[in-house]
Amino acid sequence: MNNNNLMLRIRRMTKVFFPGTSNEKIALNRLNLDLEKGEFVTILGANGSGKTTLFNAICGTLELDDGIVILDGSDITWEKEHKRALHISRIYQDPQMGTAPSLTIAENLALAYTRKASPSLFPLNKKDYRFFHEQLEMLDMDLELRMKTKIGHLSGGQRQAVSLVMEIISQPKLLLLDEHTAALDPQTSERILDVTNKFVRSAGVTTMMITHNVKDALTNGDRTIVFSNGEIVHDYRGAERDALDPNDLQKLYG
Amino acid sequence: MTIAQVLSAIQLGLLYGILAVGLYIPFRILNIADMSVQGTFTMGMIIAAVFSYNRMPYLGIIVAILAGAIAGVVTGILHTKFNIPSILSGILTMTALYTVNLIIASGKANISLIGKDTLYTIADKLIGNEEATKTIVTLLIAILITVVISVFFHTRTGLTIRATGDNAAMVRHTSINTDNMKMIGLGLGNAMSALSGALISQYNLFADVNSGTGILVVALAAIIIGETLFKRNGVTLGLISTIVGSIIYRFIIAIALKFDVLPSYALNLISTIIVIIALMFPTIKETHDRKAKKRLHLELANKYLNGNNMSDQGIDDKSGEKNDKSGEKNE
Repeated sequence: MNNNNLMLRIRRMTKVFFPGTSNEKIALNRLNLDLEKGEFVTILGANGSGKTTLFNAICGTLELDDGIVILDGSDITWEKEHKRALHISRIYQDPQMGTAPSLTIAENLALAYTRKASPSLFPLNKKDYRFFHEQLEMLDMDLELRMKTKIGHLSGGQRQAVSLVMEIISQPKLLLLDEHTAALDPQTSERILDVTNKFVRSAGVTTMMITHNVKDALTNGDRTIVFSNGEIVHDYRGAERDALDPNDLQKLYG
Repeated sequence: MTIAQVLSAIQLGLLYGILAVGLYIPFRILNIADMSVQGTFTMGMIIAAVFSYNRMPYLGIIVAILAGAIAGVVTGILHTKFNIPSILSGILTMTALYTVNLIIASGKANISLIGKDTLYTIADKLIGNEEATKTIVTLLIAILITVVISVFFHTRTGLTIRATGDNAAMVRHTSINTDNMKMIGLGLGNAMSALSGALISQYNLFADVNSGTGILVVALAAIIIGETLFKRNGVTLGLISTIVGSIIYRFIIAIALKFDVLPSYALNLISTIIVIIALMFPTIKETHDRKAKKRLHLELANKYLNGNNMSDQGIDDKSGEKNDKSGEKNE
């Protein structure tokens, strides 16, 4: 495989929690993973299998014991969290985490856009404002009419939708979705997933999505990997993935 | 109250209002209780006094602002770069500044500016009325500060500082160094606190290294009074309500002292009681509202429990619903 086509390369990624104690837990066990540019990978695995630890390690909220992380040809293993955030976007399960509650929708978007906006003293100039309006329109949730509403007044689903727009307008190289629909009701969850697909496909951004919903994992994206005890135990793509029966995969959860 | 007393309350309210704004920035915007404000307030006082004493009153104010900003950044470095808890960082800076202030004052505990030129005496020569001068100059500076800070918090950097106080993890996540934002906020807050001290020393023609004692509660009182009256709503309104709160606080103090309820040295006790009452107010109101609601619902429950026929009619009838709604409105 041509290395230039790879967005993310992970080699020998290792993280052990509480080493040397009786609680020792190998969260990531010499993990190797390659992601092609524009690939949309869904991740399955029981709680504690290392999925979120993988995301934390990629984002830099967690320091690795061993291993390297290469993003688009540059080594980011030791780069600070806020530096690598320039290229990595992440949406959490908890809608509270991705937004600043006492700022308005427009201000939150402006904050996310700061890393890509043309330099200006004031963040909410007419040009940016119009751009945010267009992006929110694509959600089809009428949020573009409420740009001056504080985020804290929105519902979880609306907040998650705004988070999604925030991450997309910052044009990341890598988008990490950590069960971002798990806290939402089934209808809203489906809506957010639709929007996610729309955004990811139109921007062609390399994406990893953690989910506990086997059906979601197989119907979204183009590759599915399964975690167990800090290792990748299955890696399905193409025809093999299409032939999978969600019920068979469900058994992995015991 | 005489007109002179009213004017004096307004002047002091505005002067200490700038100090309250200096505390408002770390306390309400960054969510950091910054104790160094006490030290920078006194430092501003001493620096402005020393410069005024040497016939450089304007330069004194500018140097005071810069020195305050530097001290604030020092607190920020201790807190962010060395992970010292913010309260402790503030206390360390504040304590160190006590010695620094004595060094600036050449070891003297106080400096008198009587007979020296200050911002106020120079302006007085233009306007010609001492009380009018004090009021106009102070008001203009307070308005200028409010406008400048309000505009600043609407710039890209200002927005980021506000977001840092709101959700720091999210700001780091948008590729911004939150450490720097905290340092800018602390620097700005302490610059304002030093400016307040500088103006007060020129206003009183006197500076003392112990003037900082109890000053945090004074600033806190202004913030809390402002919020109790105007609710917490946005930066610009927050700044204005803080300064108005400071003026109201001065009126309360003036009235308390006028009626000889307590001797003048009881000032810190009065301030503390005002802050405690203002802080207790929301909880007391909540408890009161809950009790009122409970009483209404108890009536409804009794109607149901003691009703002759045990059908649900007692609950569903219109009078019951009305009671229920008025109970909710009280919330």
